[in-house]
Amino acid sequence: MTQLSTNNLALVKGNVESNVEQYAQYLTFSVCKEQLAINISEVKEIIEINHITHVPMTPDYIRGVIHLRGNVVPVVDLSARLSNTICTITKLTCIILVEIDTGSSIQQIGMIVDQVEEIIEISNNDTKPPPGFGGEINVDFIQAMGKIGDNFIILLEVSKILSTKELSQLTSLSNAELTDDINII
Amino acid sequence: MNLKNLAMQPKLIGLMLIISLIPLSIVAYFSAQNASDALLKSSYNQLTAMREVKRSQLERFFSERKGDMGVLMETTAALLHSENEKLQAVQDLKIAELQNLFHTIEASVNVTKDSPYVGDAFNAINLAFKNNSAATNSKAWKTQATKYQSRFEDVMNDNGWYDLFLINAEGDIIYTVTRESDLGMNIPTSILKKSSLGKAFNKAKNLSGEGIAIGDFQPYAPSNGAQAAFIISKLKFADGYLAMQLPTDPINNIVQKRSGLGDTGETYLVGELNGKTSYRSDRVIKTGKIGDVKSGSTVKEALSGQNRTHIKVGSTGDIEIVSYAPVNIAGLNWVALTSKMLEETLASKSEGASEDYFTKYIKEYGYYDLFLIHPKGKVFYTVSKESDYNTNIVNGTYRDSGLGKLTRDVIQTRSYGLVDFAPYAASNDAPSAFIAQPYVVDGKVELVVALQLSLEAINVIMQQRDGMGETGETYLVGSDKLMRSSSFLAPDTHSVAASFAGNVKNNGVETDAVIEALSGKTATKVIMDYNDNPVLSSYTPMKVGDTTWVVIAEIDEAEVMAPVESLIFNIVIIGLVFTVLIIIVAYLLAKSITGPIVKGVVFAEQLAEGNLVAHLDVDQKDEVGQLAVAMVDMRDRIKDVIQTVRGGADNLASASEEVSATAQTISQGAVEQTTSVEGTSAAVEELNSSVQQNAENSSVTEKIATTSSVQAEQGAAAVTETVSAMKNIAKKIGLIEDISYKTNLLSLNAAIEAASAGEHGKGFAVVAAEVRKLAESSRVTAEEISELATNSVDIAEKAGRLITEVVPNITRTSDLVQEISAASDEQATGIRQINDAMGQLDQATQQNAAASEELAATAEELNGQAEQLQQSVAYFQLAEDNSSMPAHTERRAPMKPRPAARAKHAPMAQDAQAYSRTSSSDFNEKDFEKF
Repeated sequence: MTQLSTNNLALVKGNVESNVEQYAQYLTFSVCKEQLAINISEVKEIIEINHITHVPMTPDYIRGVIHLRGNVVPVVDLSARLSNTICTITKLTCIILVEIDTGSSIQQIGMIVDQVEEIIEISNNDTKPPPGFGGEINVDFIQAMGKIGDNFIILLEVSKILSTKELSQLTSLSNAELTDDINII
Repeated sequence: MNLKNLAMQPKLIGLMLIISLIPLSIVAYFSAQNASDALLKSSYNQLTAMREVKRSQLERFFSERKGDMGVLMETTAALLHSENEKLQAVQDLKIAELQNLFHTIEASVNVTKDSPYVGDAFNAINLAFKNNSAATNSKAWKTQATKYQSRFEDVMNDNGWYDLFLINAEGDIIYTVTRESDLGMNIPTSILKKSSLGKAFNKAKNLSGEGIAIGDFQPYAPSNGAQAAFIISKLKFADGYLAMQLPTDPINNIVQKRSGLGDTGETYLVGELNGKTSYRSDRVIKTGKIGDVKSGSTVKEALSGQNRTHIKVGSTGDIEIVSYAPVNIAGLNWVALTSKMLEETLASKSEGASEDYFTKYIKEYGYYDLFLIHPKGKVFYTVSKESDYNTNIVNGTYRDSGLGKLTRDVIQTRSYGLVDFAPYAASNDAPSAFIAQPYVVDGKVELVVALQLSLEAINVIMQQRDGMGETGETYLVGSDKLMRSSSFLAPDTHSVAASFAGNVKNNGVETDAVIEALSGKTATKVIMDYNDNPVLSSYTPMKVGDTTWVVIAEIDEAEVMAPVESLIFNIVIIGLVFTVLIIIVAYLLAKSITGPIVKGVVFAEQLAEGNLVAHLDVDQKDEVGQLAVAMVDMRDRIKDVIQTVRGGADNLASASEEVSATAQTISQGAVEQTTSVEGTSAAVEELNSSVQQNAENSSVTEKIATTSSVQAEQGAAAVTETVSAMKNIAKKIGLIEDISYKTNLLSLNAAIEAASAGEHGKGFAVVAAEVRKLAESSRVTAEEISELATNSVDIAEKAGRLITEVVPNITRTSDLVQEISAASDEQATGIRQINDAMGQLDQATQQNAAASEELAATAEELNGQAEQLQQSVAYFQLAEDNSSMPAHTERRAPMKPRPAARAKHAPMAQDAQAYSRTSSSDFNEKDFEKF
């Protein structure tokens, strides 16, 4: 672990020295024992899991909504979305809050992950485009494959994890929730 | 209980009596009941019919009385009317005659005055009178008077005059035929002025032309005060007046004619002069002369010109019928009145008859009396002329009687009335009822006709007793609860007369029937009558006038019930006859049943005596015959059994001797046993003491083991506490891990914030990274501590486990020691029991020895018993020609007194015998088994 952080510092240094090499920061986390990463610029906040209100008539990967500083934020279970396994919540489980531009508005979405790990810097030279599996298999949600040492890590494209249609559903969900709240008041 | 002890014969007879007499009595009871009900019902119907017949007869009686009364009234009215006509006719005749008389007088006066001869005579006499200074004693006057005397006498006598006068214009009486003291007097100047003559002269003087003046009757002094009337007329051929003095006789002759007036009728004249009314004819029946004053309302009415007839109370108080009419004579205000006593008028006897109409009427119709009553109350006619005759019934002596009340009532209501029976003083207090009806003319009551009803008529109705039996009767009771018809059953106390003379309690009827009927009920029921007999009574109220009577029909209950009683008597007789017959039949029947049973009883008694050869001679197939056969069977079986028993007893005697010998041998064996048992007993005592030592040692060991076990358990508990403390530490370290994780999150968020701040956040990002590293390292350290703690826990748990495993081992050791201790105790107990057993064995052996001795004695006794049994069985006689019999009976003989001496405890003795027999038979069986 100590070794890893030294590398990071070296990468930062490299970024300063060379203009050719570009470094981007990524937040790594694990879902179903798989290590994944997203660009830190897309992350709004990491929060601990609190009470999640289940919303009926929604697909399995939507865990429900949480109340965050006056906003209703829908929560997506990444493990359910990516590997059809509903995750068990441990004390390490937390929610990564991301913002997605749906075109018309910016939608906040929480993603449940098993564990957040660290922030790493990856050079653009170390990123590879997603592999083509050919044909049917959709690989849109992979932004790129990041190389750390000898290992590759999947860099997720947050805006593609959910389709446009699904996003609009989520939007309406959060809006509906708000309206309901008003009605109740 | 008693029934069981009764002999069969009376029982059977009793049973048959009960079976036959019960239905008989039930039938008798119901038939008597039905007959009684039917009789009662028919009697009630009969009584009610009788009552209704009487009632309707009575109602018809009363309505007939009313009809009678109407007819009587009509008859009376007609009688009265015809009498009136008659009176008026007589009166009219007399008036006509009277008027005729006056016409005749006037005519003769006229003839006389118009005679020239009379004129001449007047002139001659007057001249002589005047010439001789108005004296009648002169020669000339005498000459002239004598000359005409005979002529004037003729005139006077022919006409029936009392006197004839010649009066000159000055009023001097110049001539009279009779030459009384009035001759020569001057009328206007003398006392004659006020006389009838004077008044007539005055009238004549004032008459213009021809005419006649009449002076009404007045006492005339010159004729010695005799009543005289005068008629004066002016002479036609002289200036003078002719007067005639009218005597009373012609008038009286006319008026006093009595034909058609009966005994009490008369006609008289009353005239009015100077406002005074007085007679103008002499009365015949009553007193009254012409000139006597006669006044009254009737006279007044008559003088006012009315012409009628009415009934009035006469001057003497008698009730009269009066008819009056004016007499039309010019110059006179006269009326003719004809009166006749009403009694005579109405109750006149026709010619040749001895009784008047009313007398005949009441005889014909059966009334007691008839009354004619004036509206003012006077009873002016009765048929029987009792003391009420001529009294005033309205306010006189008898005003409070029934008749008095009825009269007042009838006068007021002006219609028919009836009054209930009550004692009537005038008829010697005989109970009397009255009916009455007024005679009304122009709304005024002229007369009341009343009838006194006789009791007979009602009694005749009520006492018709056809179909009433001996005690049946119908009678009437008034609302005062006194009799209204005489009772048939108690004529002395309950006749109507006795009832009114006595009181309600003794002579009246105050039964339930009367009380209920007076309250308006009509019913039939059984009551106590006035003689306190139970009677069937049928009663109903009946309206009579204003009061209510009760019509009662009664008959003694005893008479009605007589047929029922005779029926019951007959049934009892039949019952008695049947009882005797049944007793005879039952006796014969019972004898036929009990005869064979008695034989059976004798047979059974012989068996009891031991005579097993007795005979039973019953030849029947019924149950009794079967019983006899069974008893004979029983005798045969007993005979067999006794024979067997006799053989057994002999065997028993020989066996018992052998038992005795065996018992001796057993006794010797038992003594030897006793010594060997005592040796064994000592050895067992030693064994016992060593086992007890063992038990004490094991008990100490057990206590030590228990203490070890407790301590080991405490050690295990201490280890467990250590484990839980270690776990607590591990948990706390988990908390530290959480804190480091959260710090990591915070550092990540800070890094994110720094990244979003771009270049400005770079420094902050470095700090965040450092913080994250610190958090990471603290997390790693915590994990290591946690690992150590977890290891310690494992070690501690292992120690705990080991100690825990030691504890059961120690416990088990303790348990085992306890078991050893218990086993030692049990051993001690077992040895003690062996010891006891040895003692018992010793005792048993000794007992065996004693028992075998007893057995020997018992065997002796058994032998004696067996002999006794042989004697007992000998009691039965098994064959008629048994040679051993006499010997047995002799041996048995001494035993007999024993039960006899204990007669008091006979059952006990029997029980004892039975017991001894059974016990001996027990012995017998045992012997049989053993051998």
